[in-house]
Amino acid sequence: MSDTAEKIITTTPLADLIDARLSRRSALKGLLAAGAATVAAPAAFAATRNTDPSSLPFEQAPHNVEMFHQVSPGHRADVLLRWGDKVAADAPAFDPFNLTAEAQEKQFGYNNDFVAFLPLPRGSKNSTHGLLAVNHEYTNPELMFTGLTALNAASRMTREQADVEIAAHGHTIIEIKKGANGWEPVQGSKYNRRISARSTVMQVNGPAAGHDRLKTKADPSGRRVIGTLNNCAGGVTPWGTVLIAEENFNMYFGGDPAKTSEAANHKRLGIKGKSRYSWSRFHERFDVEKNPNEPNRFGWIVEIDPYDPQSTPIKRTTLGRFKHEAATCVVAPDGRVVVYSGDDEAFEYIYRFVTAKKFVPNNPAANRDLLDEGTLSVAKFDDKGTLRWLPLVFGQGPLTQANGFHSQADVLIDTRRAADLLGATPMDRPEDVETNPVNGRVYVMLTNNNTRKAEQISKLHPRATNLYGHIVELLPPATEGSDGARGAMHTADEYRWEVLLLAGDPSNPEHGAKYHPDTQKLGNWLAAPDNCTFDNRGRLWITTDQGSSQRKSGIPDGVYACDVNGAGRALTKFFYACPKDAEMCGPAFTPDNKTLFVAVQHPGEYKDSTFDDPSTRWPDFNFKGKTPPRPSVVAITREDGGVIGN
Amino acid sequence: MSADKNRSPASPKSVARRPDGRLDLWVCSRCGYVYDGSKGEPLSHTPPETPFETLPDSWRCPHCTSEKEFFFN
Repeated sequence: MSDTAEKIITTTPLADLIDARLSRRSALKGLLAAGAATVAAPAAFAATRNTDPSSLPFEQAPHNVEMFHQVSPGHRADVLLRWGDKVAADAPAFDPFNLTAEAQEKQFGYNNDFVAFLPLPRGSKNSTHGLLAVNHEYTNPELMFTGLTALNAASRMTREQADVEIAAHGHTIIEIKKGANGWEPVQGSKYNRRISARSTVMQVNGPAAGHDRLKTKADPSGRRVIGTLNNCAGGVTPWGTVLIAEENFNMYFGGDPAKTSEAANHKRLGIKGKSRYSWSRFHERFDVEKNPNEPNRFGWIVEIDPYDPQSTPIKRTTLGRFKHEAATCVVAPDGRVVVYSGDDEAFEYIYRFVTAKKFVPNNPAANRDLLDEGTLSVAKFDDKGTLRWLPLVFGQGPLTQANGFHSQADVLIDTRRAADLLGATPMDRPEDVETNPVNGRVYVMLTNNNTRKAEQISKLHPRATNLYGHIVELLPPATEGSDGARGAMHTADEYRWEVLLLAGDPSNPEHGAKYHPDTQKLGNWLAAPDNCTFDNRGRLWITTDQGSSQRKSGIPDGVYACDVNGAGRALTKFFYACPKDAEMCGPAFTPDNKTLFVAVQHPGEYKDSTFDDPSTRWPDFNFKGKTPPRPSVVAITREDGGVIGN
Repeated sequence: MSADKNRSPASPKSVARRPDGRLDLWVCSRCGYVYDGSKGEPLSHTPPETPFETLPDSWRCPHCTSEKEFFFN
């Protein structure tokens, strides 16, 4: 019996029953709707019903790379927000031939990543009106400005161009409404706000705030940072704020770190004396020789209150400093709040933060600084299926003065080094870590790791040269007499773990892929799982990022969905295809699951693809005007207005 | 052909160096990872003093898996 088959048999019986019951109900609904209104889709839908073990009945999107995006038949994929669209009321119209930092700072930023939908009013489950909070992770200067390539941009850019890039980083909060024409931004809303790396002042809280290692010439207090960098994914707190994760902040810094007081620290985080960006040529703060502590002010989790446009974003240092992919929040049975985060790099770790105090429902003020006190831990796995969370606490174990830690601030600034000393388990590029709202398990996207050697494989990482990535499930113990998400003890010291699937092409034995056995026949394969979310039935929606390998695999990045319980466990189906050379980010459902927001990041990013001659001009396709591709947020809905995935 | 067919031939002239003589730094244009040839790359078991130019064509960015052509110095 294959591992997958074994797992199908051993999944929670209760969850199976729920799944089966919901499937029957939704199948009936689907057929009724089909008879009344739609045309083509129902035939395929009905034909596969009897033989398909998956609870996801949608017809798959074409599994091929095109210049345009493609969605499952029976759905609409509408571009909602594009790079350069108006955010602030006084933002000028987008003109890709005359970009300025001032305009960019009022317009939608570049390379949208994390997307959160926050209903209006706060605390409601309104699914037709709310705020969209969107990260802008990084910039592709070769696709933003004429005359540059990916390989020469850093050395050829002007200060004005660099400033546009800095303004295009950060975050956007924008009010959106669903009307007769679908979703639309609300122009002039009081909530609309750009947060940038150029001018937004942020406060630093927690043990590292005000520490000498965070002080700079421009900020002798060590508590006031300009901007946020490389915000990848994030999370939403139970009190309605947004957490955004500073990831590859290392790549903005130039200057030789060996000449600074922070040489080992900078090296551990990948600051090595040469930058992908030109910024250090124009701004001293990005030159570590002139400002050795500036990088210590990045790599944190930032909390933003999107409902208060005047609020100051806060860097919460309790959650550690590393290349945070995301920050997924869940309330544990005892009321404490748990935040999971991966450190996105080959052989890095996954982390968990548990607040010291309990969450107070319906009282945002009481929870305002909940994230300033608590314990950060790192994961250590064994091959017998057990995971232990090891606390990163100054004075405990090896985290003492003997090893160069003089306070909890040092432990947090040098989180990676502290985790090394504790013996954490090096993983295959841990990216998103998300909690399932139905079965209570935690899902870890391990994107890939081409440097894992044969002698480094284990049950947790069963493939050397892991080019396709895999997904691991963490199983917190359940409280007595309870099961599913309600009883999942996310505060426990010890969990169990299982592998959900090994990505890659199951028809190619060299890939060593493992899914549900029917995936080849009824589903589609994926590579490089990166971000994910869950629908209200606890099914997993995965987004992928193959990077330049997309050209080799021949399959697009996009959205895949699968059951995690029941007979369709790990049978992945393809739902949405990104345009060429783009990565899929930000999957976020509205509370009613009738809209799925996704972020198309870096369309047209390839070594020979430029502003003047891009590999795609999605989504505008203005060939005559020669406008570049534009990273955009897309709203996916069903043509019949129904619940996605039912 | 050399015995190690995976290695590109590289004369000392074609190896880029920093002003102080150390091997040049090469940056991945996709993800910003920096290959420092003077230090090698422990992740891919590449020893110190391995010029970027002599890495095998099959070598990929240890962070984002991009190929050598995506790097600039």
